[in-house]
Amino acid sequence: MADNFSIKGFYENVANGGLRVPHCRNCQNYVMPPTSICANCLSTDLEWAKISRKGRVVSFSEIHVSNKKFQRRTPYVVSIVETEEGVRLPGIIKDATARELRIGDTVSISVSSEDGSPGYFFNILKNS
Amino acid sequence: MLVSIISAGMSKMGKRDNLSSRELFAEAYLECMQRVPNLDRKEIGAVYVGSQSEIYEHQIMYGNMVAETVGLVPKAAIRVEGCAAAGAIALRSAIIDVMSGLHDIVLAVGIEKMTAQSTEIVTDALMAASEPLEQINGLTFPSIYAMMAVEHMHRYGSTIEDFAKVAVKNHLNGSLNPKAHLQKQISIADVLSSKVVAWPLKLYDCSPISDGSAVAVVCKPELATKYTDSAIQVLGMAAATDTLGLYNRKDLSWPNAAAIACTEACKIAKMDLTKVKIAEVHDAFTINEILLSEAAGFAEKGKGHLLIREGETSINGKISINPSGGLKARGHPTGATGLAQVYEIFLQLRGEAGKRQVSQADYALALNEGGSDAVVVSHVFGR
Repeated sequence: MADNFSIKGFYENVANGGLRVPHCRNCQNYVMPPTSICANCLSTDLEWAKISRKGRVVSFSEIHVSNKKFQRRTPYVVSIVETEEGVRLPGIIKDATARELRIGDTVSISVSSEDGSPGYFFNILKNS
Repeated sequence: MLVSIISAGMSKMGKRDNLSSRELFAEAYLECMQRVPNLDRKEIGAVYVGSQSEIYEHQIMYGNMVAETVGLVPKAAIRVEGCAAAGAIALRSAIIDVMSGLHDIVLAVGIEKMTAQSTEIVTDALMAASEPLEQINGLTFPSIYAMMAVEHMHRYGSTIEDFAKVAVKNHLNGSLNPKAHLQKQISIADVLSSKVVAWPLKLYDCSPISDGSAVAVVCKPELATKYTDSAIQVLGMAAATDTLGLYNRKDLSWPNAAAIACTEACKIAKMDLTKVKIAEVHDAFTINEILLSEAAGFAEKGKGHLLIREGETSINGKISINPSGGLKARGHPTGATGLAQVYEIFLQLRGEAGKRQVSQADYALALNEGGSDAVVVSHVFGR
């Protein structure tokens, strides 16, 4: 596990196949975005906590105009997903179109080391 | 009353080929100074300049650039930043200087020169206003607002036709504004058939990429009549923040910072917004005009789309929202927008807005925001 509580550390864990976010041992808050201090209680007593690989779609969009880095992937569907613990993550839903999606749909979260990948992806499991 | 605004100026907005932000600023500054012939530029104590990004012109130190362009060196001249809220932040900084007694007269400037860069580069420069996890995952700004829109549609029943109506209304207003970037009227069908940018938002739901500058002169109220008989007054102001990333908010379609900024500004102004007949609000995307009108209390939460549906936000409707054409049609040179809103209100409250003049307008609201409604600055004006 990464020893630094940061976005860099979060992606080091992802590169090793782990989906973990900093969790405050003092107030049980999940620290998002990943960093070294809990904004809720200012504790620095953190741990990397595993989060569920399942979540629900809070909202979504299908991007047709992107920046250079994402040009190859365009169009692509992005979403905000809430895991079972209540942690929210922004990310890309793989192999999806906006037309088939609804708020509340269930997704699985997979980590990926494929070239140019943002690290993790959402995959539709069940339409709500 | 906090301070007076004795003059304002604005460049023509649009794709201003061959002009850098220096020339755009000079255009706005000259118009502003022509209105107050008794004002000697040596009386300007300090300058605040709002600009969004150093990427467009590979330039920071916009304070110096502005000051040297019109011979204000060695006065204090400082750039402020808050993405597209930079303009209102410059105004706020100028107001605080005058209220504190540090200076009697301060110049607030907003500038941006965006069109020399490609849409991809502009998209990327704007993405710098989101949070790293959003950037890494390719969330563009249109997609962030699209996610607010999708939630609003799901919860409250707003539709893409409602969003289109905001664009149609603002293009109509823009057609009455000779300085607007887009002066062409459009139809609902034009909006709905325009290219998808980030579903459900289409090209005509998005403000254009523009060049432009706007300025305002803030003055201690006791001195204002030395320069003009028709200063406008700043009655209240506030700024508030939200999380940098949209994903960290529990309610995606409630711009909480805007609601707080409006409430606080009204408290300072000792009035409520029912007196306000004009609002220039940050319609970078059509959905945001709807969300901000809820935050300002012009409609109840979840009912902002009913205002546009019933035509209540047209010029001389119940509340004239974005009579200038808004960001949507007047144009959106990011750093200049906050002061472009003030320029419109300056004209409107003085009865100088021509074909788009709102009648019996005594009070006005400006709501300028940066990021995903992540920093919101509000100003309440009177005559």
